Amino acid sequence: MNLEAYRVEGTLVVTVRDSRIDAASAVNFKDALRDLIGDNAAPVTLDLSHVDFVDSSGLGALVAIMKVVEPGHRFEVSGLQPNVEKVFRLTRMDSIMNIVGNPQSSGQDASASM
Amino acid sequence: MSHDGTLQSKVGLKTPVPVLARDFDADFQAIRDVLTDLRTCLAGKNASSEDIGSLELLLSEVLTNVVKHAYADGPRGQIRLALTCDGNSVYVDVRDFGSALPGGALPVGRPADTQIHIQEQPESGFGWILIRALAEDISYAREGSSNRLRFRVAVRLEGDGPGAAETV
Repeated sequence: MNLEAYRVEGTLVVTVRDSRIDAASAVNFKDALRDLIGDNAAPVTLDLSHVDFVDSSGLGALVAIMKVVEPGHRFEVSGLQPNVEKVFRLTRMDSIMNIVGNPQSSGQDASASM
Repeated sequence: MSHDGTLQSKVGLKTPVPVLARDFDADFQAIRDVLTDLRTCLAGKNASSEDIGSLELLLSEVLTNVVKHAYADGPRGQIRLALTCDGNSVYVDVRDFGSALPGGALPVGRPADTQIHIQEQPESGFGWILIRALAEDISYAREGSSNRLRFRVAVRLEGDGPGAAETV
């Protein structure tokens, strides 16, 4: 799983560089992200702006990560594409997870890629 | 309710034509490959990206369920997928040769419960809520030693509309 991490004012921002979080990749994704977060004592923002497909297996991995971060810190997901946003909405996970627009786009971030 | 005749006469007069048919191994990578083909195929028929996304999600859930549940206990078998369309809808027919759905009935599917504490939230079980939200006229049958799941999705495909194929 291709993840990219950097810090923005105390928040660990992780950009997912793969286009899919599905049954084929959910376990790898969860393990890789867990390793990356480690004992990080900080809020985490997961940037999904490059992800165009998440299914229920991918969503389950996100819930698992939320549980890892949330005891002490805020976990949020950002940059949801329409097809991904739909999965959150239909499962009502949008009322449980913190979803934000694209807060890091003003930083040194991913908008330069393509 | 009778699945084929009455339904199609309601939504369109045309006889459904084949869109995609695949026999493949029940594993996650094979599912990805089929979904990629499907995306290309539907884009070529001018389906909207929203419709393509819904159908891809729906099929991902259904096919993943086959791998995770129907073939959970036995050797990994085959999945037989057939999609047809009549211009207004895509009809999906999924067959596998694994174990039957428990109780022979389609699971209900429940959305996330906002009353539950974050640490208690389930990490699976969201597949059926998505399937039920996106598919219409779902039917399940155990046919001999195979499972057959059929449903319809409202998707406009221009490639099969009257006159659309006439370009030279």
